[in-house]
Amino acid sequence: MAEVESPQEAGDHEALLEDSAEDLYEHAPCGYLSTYPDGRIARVNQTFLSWTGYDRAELLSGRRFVDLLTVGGRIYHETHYAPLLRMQGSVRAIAMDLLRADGTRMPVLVNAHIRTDAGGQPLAVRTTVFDAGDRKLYETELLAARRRAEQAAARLRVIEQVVADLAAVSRASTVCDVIASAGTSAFGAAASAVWLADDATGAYRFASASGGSGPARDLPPDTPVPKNVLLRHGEVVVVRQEDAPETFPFVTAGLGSGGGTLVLTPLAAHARTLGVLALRLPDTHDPDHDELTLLQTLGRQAGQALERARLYDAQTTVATTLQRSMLPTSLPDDPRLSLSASYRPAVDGLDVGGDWYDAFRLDPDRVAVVVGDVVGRGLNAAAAMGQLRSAIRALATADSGPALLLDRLDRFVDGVEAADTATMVYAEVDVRTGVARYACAGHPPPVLVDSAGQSSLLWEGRSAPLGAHFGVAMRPEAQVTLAPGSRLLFYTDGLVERRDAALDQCIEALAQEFSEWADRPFDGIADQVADTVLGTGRTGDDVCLLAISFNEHPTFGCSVLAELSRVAPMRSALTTWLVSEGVAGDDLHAAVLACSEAVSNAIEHGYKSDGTGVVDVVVTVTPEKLRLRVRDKGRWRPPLTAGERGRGVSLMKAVMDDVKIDRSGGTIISMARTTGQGLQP
Amino acid sequence: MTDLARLETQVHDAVLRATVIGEIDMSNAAALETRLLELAAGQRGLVMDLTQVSFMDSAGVRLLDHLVEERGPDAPIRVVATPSGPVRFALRVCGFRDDLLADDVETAMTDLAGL
Repeated sequence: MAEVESPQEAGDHEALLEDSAEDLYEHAPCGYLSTYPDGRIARVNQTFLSWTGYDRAELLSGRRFVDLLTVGGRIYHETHYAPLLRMQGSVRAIAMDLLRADGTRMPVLVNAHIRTDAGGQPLAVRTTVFDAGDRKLYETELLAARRRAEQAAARLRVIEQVVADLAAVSRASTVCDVIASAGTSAFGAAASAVWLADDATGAYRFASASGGSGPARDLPPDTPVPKNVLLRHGEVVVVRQEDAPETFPFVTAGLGSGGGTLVLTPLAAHARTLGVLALRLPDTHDPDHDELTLLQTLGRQAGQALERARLYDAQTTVATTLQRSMLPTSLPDDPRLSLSASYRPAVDGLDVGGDWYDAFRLDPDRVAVVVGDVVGRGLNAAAAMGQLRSAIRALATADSGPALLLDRLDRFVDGVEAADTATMVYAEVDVRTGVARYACAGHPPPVLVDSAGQSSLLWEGRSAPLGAHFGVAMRPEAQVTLAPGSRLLFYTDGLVERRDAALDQCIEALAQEFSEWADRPFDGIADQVADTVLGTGRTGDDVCLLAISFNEHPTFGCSVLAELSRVAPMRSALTTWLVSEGVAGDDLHAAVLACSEAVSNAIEHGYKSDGTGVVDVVVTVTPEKLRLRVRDKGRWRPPLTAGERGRGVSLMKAVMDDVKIDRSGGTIISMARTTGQGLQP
Repeated sequence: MTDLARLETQVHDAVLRATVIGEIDMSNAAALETRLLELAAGQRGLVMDLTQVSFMDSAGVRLLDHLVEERGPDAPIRVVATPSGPVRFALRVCGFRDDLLADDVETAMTDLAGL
């Protein structure tokens, strides 16, 4: 190089030509260039010649390295490269553009190093040239690798979450949901589905799906699937979808036919394949090795979770079956007293509680009603509950009464540890008079609601839980007389225990809720109240409800969606019911007409026929009266033309004795008609 | 006509006999009214045969009021409704004109033929 001075040609040749591995030198993966201190090229390897297209003889005939640079390169060479080299003795990774023999540019990275003699005088400059085009490729690869690594990390995070989710779930169905959604969220599958192996038949049954809007769900839930040979090996199977239909008819059916790659991951535990996770990856997505490894891990984790879940489900089934078997299969049938019961197991299955209800006849005119709660959970609690329930049936006699029964039970639980401190409410209802004697042993108070919807709590007749009644001579009991049409609700504390509210508030709220059901049909009321109350803020406790209704009047109830076309079906149902209750003639016409008018009005004026609001209709028949109540929660808008629209109301008033319209919050129209008196009331 | 009611018509001596089969309520009364006015246009008389109507509400009564109004005093109308049926009940309750009511179609047609 020009700037490197003191040419000492003689003898230096030896230093330059010392390489022994000639071939290695000539065909190294980089270009080698040796120059005299004045810059003239002394030696060059074949790689450099091949890259640049120069002739060896031409370069060795006095050309300098700097001559091979572009104009910009030469300037850079003079201002930076050469001074750096002189000062430091070497330069590394300097980016330059070489001019090839054909005049094209070649981006290169250059390392250079000055060889000196013993006195520090430069002998030669050895230059190594790297193809920077390669390096750019390398950088691109580096970026791609980093992207892959980031994707893998993101996937790993999802998998970690999945594993954590799997540890927290205890039901097989939930395990399947978690795995199926991981298929779309972690692996970008267009569709993802899980099938579970059926132990008995060896078939795979559809369990859960995610993504693939539509097609994945087209597989009927119980489609039996032939056990596939490929899944026996416990390895992830990858197959193009177009190659799949023969081998995987069920998978193709389940994932839809959007094309792409199918990846089947066995959900395995202890050398058994419990199910399969099938992913359909989009065409652009070829699963790499990392993904397949992750899937295999996921499959093993899911397999273990499934095995746990199966064990859990089996135990839960035993506990639930035991408890169910101890609840009465039928309740006393008496036209004067209706009963409605509901039992809800705790959210998490194995925690089966000791809640129970029972109702039985003491004598032809008296019915005993029990709702109780054994402390503790699981099989022990369920078993204790069963013993207690049998004891009550044995100890309750026609002449004992609630207080004496509780005394006897105190002695009984002395010998049954698990039944100790159980709480219960017991009532005996005389179905001729409506007189109810009751006692509460540490149990929440029953709710009484009369036919007008007035509610109260039965706070009398209270004493401590069973077995905890020390130092009191006799347990107290109380008495209440049920008016015709009134209802009593017995329940366990799971119904009124919420994390976000105090117990007494919850009990008051329940009383309020139950009173709102006063004019609705009694059939199935326990289930409906349970649904409403437990709808949000559920505790993990099990819940028992038993409602009784004394001399309930026959009631018709329905909810009509706010569309005028829905009124005719309501009329038809109401007519059928009224006829079955023996209502005929003008009474029938009047009831159907008034009800239809009121519902149409509510739809037109309360909801503006929005098709989403609901109008509730309740009709009650007593021996002398027809009562109708039509309620909407819409906003009343006055009729546009009073003369026209007002006709509905005047018509209602014409056919009913008594029409009351309450517009405080929605509209409630209450109407009554004395029956059997012809057209004019 | 609508899902709720079907309309059958015949013309005898410039009297339109319109038979409604089904139910008349707020959901279909307006459409029924428009159709009836079209069909009755140019006819001297109109007999509304409501003997096969199983339910009629105030919107149905309003429909009949409108027909009477729209067609005017020179275009006589009879409304036929079974004496103890739900249509007659609604008409009585709403105070529909007694003189326009008939118990059967024959009587109504004869009535109008004589006018």
